[in-house]
Parts: sequence; C-alpha cells; structure tokens
Amino acid sequence: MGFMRSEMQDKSIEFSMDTPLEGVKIDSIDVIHVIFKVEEEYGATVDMAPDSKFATVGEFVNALIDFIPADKKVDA
Amino acid sequence: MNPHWVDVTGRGVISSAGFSIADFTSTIMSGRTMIGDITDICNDVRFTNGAVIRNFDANAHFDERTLGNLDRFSQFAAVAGRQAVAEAKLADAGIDPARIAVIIGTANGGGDILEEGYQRIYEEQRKPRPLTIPMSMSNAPASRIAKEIGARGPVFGVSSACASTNHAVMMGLMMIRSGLVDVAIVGGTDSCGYASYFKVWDVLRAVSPETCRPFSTGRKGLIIGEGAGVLVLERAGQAAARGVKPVAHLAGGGMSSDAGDLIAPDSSGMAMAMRAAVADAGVAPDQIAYVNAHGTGTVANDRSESSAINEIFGGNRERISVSSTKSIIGHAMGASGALEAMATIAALQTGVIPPTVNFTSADPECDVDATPNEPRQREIEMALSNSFAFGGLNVSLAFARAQG
Repeated sequence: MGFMRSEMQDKSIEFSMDTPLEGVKIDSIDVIHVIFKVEEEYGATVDMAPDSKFATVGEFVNALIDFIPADKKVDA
Repeated sequence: MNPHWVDVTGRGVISSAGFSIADFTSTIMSGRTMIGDITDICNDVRFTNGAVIRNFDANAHFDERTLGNLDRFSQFAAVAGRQAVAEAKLADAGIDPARIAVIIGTANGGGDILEEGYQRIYEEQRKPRPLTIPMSMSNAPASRIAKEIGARGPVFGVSSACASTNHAVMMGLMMIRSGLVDVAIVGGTDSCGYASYFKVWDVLRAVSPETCRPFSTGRKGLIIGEGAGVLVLERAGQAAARGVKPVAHLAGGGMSSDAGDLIAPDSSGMAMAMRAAVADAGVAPDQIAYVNAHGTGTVANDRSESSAINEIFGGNRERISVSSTKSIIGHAMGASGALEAMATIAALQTGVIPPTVNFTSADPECDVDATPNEPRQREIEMALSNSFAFGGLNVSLAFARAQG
C-alpha cells in the first residue's frame, strides 16, 4: 500500500483495499514502478504484465504479495 | 509570397548558449564560444573540450514524478517545446488536436538512461531502471510534447544522425503543404554530455583535441555539443487570426543521399540537397545571401561543403556569406539543425550574420567567406541551413525573412 501511495500522481486520494483501482489514478507507468519496488525491496520476481487487470487495490496488492518469497511476507 | 512557403510562428531552445531565444541569439551574435573543459566528465580521451549544458535545472521545469520518467534529451525538448508553443500562442488557439503534428529528431535517443542502465547491470549487478525502454526511445521527446499540448495528430521521432532535425522539419513542411495538418511542431534534441558518448567519439578520431575552427587553417575536428530546438510551423497566414506574426518563413527544403561512404562527406550530395532546397523554395540561387553551414570543423566536411556551396552559388565570395555556429555551440548532433535554424532565423530577423569564431586564417581549399571571428551587419532576405549526416544523408532548409 505504501509503494502505491508513493507512486500515485495525486497523493491526497484516500484509499483502502476495497477502493476500485481506477479510483487511485495510477497509470501503466506507476504500475511498473510499484512492481519494480516490490522486486527490489523483497527480492521477488514479479511475473505480472503491467496491463494486468485488477478491480480493486486489494486485488492488485494481494497479487503482488503472492510473488513475495514466504520468508519475507511478514514484512510486506 | 510563394504559396508553397509556410510560417514559422514559434521557437524554443535549450543550449549551451542559453535557455531562451533571446539569450541564444545574443550569445551567437556576440561570437562568445561556449566550448569549455569537459575533463570532469571524462578525462581519458584525446580531447578535453566540449560545449555541454551545465546549469539546466530540470527541477524548475518538472515535478519529481514526471522527472523520474523523462530522460535528459526529452527534458530539453519539452522545455524548448513550451517556449515555442508560448511564442506561437498555440494554447487555446482552437486548433483541432487531430491536426497538430509533433515530429522531433534525435541522433542518440536517451543515452543518459542507457548509460545508467549499463552501469547498474554490469558494474553494480542490479536491474536497470524499470522505465529504461520508454525513457530512451527516440520518440520519447515527441510523445512528451504531444502529451503536454494534447496533440493527437501524427507524432513520431526521426533519427538520421546529424540531419535528424532537418528531416523532422521536412516532414512538418510536407504535412502542412499537403493539408494533412494545420500545425507541425518540429525540431531536434540530443543529450551528449556523458562519458561513454565522449569515448565512442574518441575512437572515431573526429573530435578536435583543442577547439572547433570551421573553414579555417589548422582545424582539427568537431567539438561535441548538445541541446534542443523546437519550431512551430503552420500554414501561411493562419496565425494572423490570433494576432501572431511569423518570425520567419520556411520556404522550402531539399534532401539527398550520397549512397556511398558511411562517414566521408560527398560534395555532390551536399550540392544536391542545397540545389533542391533553392528550387523547392521557388527562388533563384542569387536570392540566397547566407548559408548557415554544417561546418563541423573537420578537414573533409568543410572542404566538401565549400566546394558544394561554390557549385550552387557560383563561387561569388562577395555575394554570399557563410558561417558555422558550431564554433560557438559545438556540434549538437541530432539537435544541430534545430539550433542552427534558430541562428539562421536570427540572422534574417536582425540583419546580422553570426560569426565563425576560432578562425585563424583562410584555407585555400575552403574558398568561402566564412564570416571569420566577427559578426557582420548584412540585411538578408533568404538563407539556407545545412545539415549533413553520417550515413551520407543531406538536408538543406531554406528560410526567408518574415514579410508583412
């Protein structure tokens, strides 16, 4: 969630796991940056296309968490 | 006015000679060279000088998020584009976005981000930055300008080494003449002030170990420069409705290919481009009074270009002035045509021919009046701006003083 906020164009937008992804106004470039940060921070290999479709913030975040190695998931 | 001509209604520039048309023109006309020491960037090549941009404050022009997605050559082009659009008063002009083209040339693409990427991959054993591809692509500057102004028509990059700008300008000229678009935002950009770029030029042995002396005895090669220039082109008279007068006319242009040596210049190809430009402008050669030469400062280019100029213009030194502003701002590669178009237009506007500085004495093999060292007062109506590229690609643009 923190990575998402850091990449959002409008950081004043409040959001939760249930917020529709389109509601947080992130574009394809932001998605790539978020994926990259997850890979760098957690040593993960995120095998996800940047144009993957997710309905909510939660779906996107959980999809990313799936790629994080088990021993590092507690930090995420 | 010839109905084939189009108006130049806006200009913008980022260069070692200044970040505005006013500063650029003042520097060019004063003949104060911007060539200086580059050993803090690269100190193990056979040359020590360049004309690099030192104090461009990107943070003053872009927010942090945007800046993280724009390589330096796109930053230059975007800021130059804003200046050009402002001068042309294009914002809120009511132009159909689908009829606005943006065509920006670049020789190198995003070399800075590629250099950083290679460093991360091979030295630091890290991943490259995630947007290395969209930041380095040659159409990134055109896409950025289009995004900023909402242009929805033909938008693309052009890459033909040192003729990139002039090819981009030709595309815009043809699109307006054909009726495909109402406005064409054209120009060129290149960022060249990084170590690996100096190194690859070093091994080509084309860079001067001291300075740039076009058409002069003792010339030893080019000096690497960088920057961006953007022009707004539109159908003649169109801008009058919003109270904008053209700063000059783009009267025509000519393109040719040597179909020969990859790097050695060919005088006949240069002459073909100039002859075609004059014909396309619908004028006679004796109406051209100034040639802003490609004038790299290499022995071969300047000799070949002098020969071509004399072939087209009859070898009349008294009638035609020639100069190379590369002696002041270096060779900005894909942006060189853009910066030199600004110098050419400035000469038409001010009645002053910018000088070729660092000139020591005339080379008998360069039998042209190269406007040595001092600017010259001379009212001119028409001028050519030449760009000749590796790969044997030649483009000459014909500009005319604004009428009315």
